[in-house]
Amino acid sequence: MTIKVTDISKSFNDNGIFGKKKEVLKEVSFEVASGDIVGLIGPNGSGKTTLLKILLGLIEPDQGKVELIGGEDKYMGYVNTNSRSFFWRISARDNLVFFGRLLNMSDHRINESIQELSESFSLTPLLDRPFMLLSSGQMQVFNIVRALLKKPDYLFLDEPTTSLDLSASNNLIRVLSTIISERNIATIWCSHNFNELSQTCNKYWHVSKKKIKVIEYSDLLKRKECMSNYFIEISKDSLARINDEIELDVLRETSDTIIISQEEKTNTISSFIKILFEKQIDILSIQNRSNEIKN
Amino acid sequence: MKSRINNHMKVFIKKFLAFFIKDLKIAVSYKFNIIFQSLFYIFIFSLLFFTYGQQSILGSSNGVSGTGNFTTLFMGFALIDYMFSSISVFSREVRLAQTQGTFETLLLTRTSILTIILASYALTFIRATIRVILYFVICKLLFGMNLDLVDMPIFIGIIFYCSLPFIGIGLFSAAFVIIFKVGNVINLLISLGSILFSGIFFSTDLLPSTLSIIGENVPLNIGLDLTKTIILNGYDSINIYEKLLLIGVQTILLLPTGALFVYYALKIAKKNGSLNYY
Repeated sequence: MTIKVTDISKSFNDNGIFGKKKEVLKEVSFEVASGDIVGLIGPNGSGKTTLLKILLGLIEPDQGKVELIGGEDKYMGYVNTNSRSFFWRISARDNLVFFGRLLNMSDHRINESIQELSESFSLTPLLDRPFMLLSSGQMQVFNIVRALLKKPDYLFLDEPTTSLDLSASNNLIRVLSTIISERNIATIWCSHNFNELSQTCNKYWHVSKKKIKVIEYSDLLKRKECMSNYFIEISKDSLARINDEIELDVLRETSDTIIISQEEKTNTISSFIKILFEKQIDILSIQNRSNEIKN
Repeated sequence: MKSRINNHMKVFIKKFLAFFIKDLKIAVSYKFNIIFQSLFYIFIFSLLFFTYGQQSILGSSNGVSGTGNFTTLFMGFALIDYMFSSISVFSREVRLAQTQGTFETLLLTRTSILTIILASYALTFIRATIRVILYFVICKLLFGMNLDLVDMPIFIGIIFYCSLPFIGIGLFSAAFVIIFKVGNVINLLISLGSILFSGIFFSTDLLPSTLSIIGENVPLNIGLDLTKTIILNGYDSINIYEKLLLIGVQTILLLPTGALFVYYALKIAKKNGSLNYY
């Protein structure tokens, strides 16, 4: 079973219908087959989610086509970061039963699947709790359970470990990668967390400048150290001392401090810190995208 | 071919029931809602009784011999309720799914947009029917309305039939919400226009002749005429078949066109990437 994408392009109006067209993806082509677990990386706004939604049929491309080779009637599971995609007034079990019925599963199969998956993800005690009483991390795990409910042929994961603490995240990655391997599901896994991708994926793609580039594992490791994966907090006063010489992205400002990064640069974190030391700039904190804080 | 249609029908019914059960569970989770709603209707009918109702019992009868305006008002109220339910439920459901973030997830289950929209009507229809029965009980017990319980099934049947064209308009309205998200002018214009031309609150004879012709063809007005004729005067009039046919024609025109608009709106939203925007 393969999903084949040929020459997909997509642009959006950047400010409503009267806005200027902004091209997000340009003539993107690739194939994902059973057994492939593709790690998709790229800066924010590079078009990762747009690409997934095109594959799912939720966004129509301007040109190009998506083909499912090996049967049209295949089910695609999708995990996003939206915990509001459940009905909060009813229990987690009722939600799963509802979505299972919409997927045309028999009640027996739905219950079997719920039991199996809730045991794997240690969710059994939470099944009958109203969804609104769950934590955002628990909601996210149910999001994954819903995507796996009707054994998917393709699985698209858009930052699946969002809202999870380190231990829950590691547990989820372990269980999820086992299920993906056992069921041989063709998977695209979007994340900013390189550890997560290196543990699970067997192929790596980088989305940048409207294109997809295949990268090797060694390249992934280099990118892990790349400045675009880190946020550095410095005092506002010291910004003037570095601004002219280095191209920076200012991500957030408070009254005294400023958080900077380099979205499109390939400087490593160590070389960047060296520059900051040379300029005698006080680093208040360094944070990577997987929220590991190194003070 | 036949088995394929049967299979499609089975899947539709299964999904329809899934929506109904889910909506019912959500409705039941708001425990005090029914009590507050009952109190609200008692208040509204008391208000209407002591304004419109008293006048009619004493005097005029808006074209139905031997019947007070209060019965007409009850019928009109029930018709308006069904109309509002039919016209607003689909756009409300789409809007709710957009704001909750369930819209894309529902579409990913390979459930057609029409099934998603139409399935939301089941509970709304039942709720509207319960409300009409509640209106009936309040009007009968508290205000001695001139209508018998045995007439209720045929009464509900007629008002459901008369609300069918509004389901078509409701689909237009849902299409509008899929593309433009807010500011649903279709609901507002059609609802206010229908009430204005319905003859419920004042006779359409008072309108200028051109507007009066429009008024005579508004489903709400036809529905009111039909219910009054059938329930209060019996089935002897040939006129009712013409009116039933008129509603049927309006339904045949509006339902498929509304459905086509919904599909078109979905295509536009997929093109803009705005399915989940709100």
